Amino acid sequence: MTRETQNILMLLIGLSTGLIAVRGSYLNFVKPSLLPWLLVAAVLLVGLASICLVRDLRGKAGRKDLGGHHHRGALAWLLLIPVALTAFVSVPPMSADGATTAMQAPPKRAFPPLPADGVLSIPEVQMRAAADSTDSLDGRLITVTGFTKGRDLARVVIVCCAADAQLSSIHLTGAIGSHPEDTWLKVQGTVIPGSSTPSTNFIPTMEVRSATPIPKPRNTYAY
Amino acid sequence: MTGEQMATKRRAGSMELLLVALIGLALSGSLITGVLADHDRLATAATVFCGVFVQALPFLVLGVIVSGLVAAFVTPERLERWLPSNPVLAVAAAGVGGAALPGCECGSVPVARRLFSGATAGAALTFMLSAPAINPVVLVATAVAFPGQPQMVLARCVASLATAVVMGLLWQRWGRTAWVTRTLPVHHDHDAPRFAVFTEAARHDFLQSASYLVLGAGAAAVLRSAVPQWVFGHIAGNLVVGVIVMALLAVVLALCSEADAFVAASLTMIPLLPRLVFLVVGPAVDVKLFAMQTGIFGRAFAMRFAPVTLVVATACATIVGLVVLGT
Repeated sequence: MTRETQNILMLLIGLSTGLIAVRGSYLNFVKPSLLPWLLVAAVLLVGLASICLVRDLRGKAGRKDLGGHHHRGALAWLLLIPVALTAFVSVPPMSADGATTAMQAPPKRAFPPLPADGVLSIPEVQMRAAADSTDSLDGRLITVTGFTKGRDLARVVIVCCAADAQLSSIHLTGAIGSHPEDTWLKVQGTVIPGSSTPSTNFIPTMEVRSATPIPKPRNTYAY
Repeated sequence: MTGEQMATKRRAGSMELLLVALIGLALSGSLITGVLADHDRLATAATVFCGVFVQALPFLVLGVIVSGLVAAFVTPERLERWLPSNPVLAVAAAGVGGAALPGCECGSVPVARRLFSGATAGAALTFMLSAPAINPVVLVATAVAFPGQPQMVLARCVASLATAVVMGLLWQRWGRTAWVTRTLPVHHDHDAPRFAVFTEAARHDFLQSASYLVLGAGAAAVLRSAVPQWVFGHIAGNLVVGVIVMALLAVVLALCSEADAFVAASLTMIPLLPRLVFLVVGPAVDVKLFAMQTGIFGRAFAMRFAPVTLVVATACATIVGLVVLGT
């Protein structure tokens, strides 16, 4: 592979990184907090590639001086794969089946009080039900959103990127109504005290008061 | 046909190939999207690949910018002057000094070869092992990948530094310069403008390490989607098996040190200690480093250095892990 082709590939990586940042599809793979870093990386790559392209176009003298050996240059063809998967193909966010379920018994600790509106994320409910020494969930009406998976309401949680995706879920009981699999719901109800045990894999059960279908959110992950 | 004509023809060839590939992708993009929608495991693999690559890319770019600056402003002569004359102190200083030079392991091999000469040999090798493992970019990446687990960053730093220093001291005691059969290509151009040196080094390092990152992210994607969960369950159940498997995995996957923490973090079903082994072995020895060491130092060197590094790194990581992380 020639230097020009390598430079173009570097340019394409920069452009496709900028593209997923602007389009918002980066949220399928990483956390929102990475956005500024992605933009910086995109700008730096496009800049670097442009400088190299312009210098090579201007003359061959500089190229010879700097020892442009084509050592294993062919490996750079691999860079077409991320370009293809980010710019040309729309790769979906991690599905519930792809996420692992690995909940271990966490040590008990005191959690901060519940927010006044009672809106919580599913992983937060799961953690509080399993490990809150203050039992802050008991008797409180809470609101959670997620997708239906069997009799559960679930959410895919990522710590860092989609590669570490885990499934967090709550068993539902009571006034759920019937919804097809993978329907996004906003659910109000109370967590049954003592329902999060090693035998249930620390998945608590929620007594549902109301369940309303909602459109699939743009960012499907919880953090 | 003259050489120049042939070169022109070849250049046109690879650029045309790229254009054809891009047109092909533009035409087949929605088709591939449809295939992914129908095949869950393929979609999972693609998502894992993009996750690892997109998460690692900003760190990689940051790394190659810094390594370009180092290539432009920190001359090998200057580095040699900074080293103490006592060989043991020099090894220790090189180990800690590695922390100041962020870069991928791919970049540190040629730098170490430049520094490698009779008296500084041990220090140069210590530097080669410590620079990619304990520099700020890698440690920040590790902290980001393991949120709420600062002991992982500490354990990685200590174990990698120990590996680098032990290897440097071992070389000073038993190493032979005769094993280093490759001579250094002399094309040091003092007239090249600093900015050109900077952009060339950053360009070279990016292309090298990003290509290997694609390989690593692909391997991680295949592992996540193809290896059944019970395999990881078995690894998780037995610490000795876990340590050995993760050490070998680090060698085979050949991840960039700025990205490996994210892959290790993704293997949530495995306990912390084997994952620490993965993080300590990876930047010190893997298939890609073995290939680079063979090319830059020589086969006789690499055949001895790489296996010993694997054993020392695994041992250091296990001991430090037992102390810092517990079992």
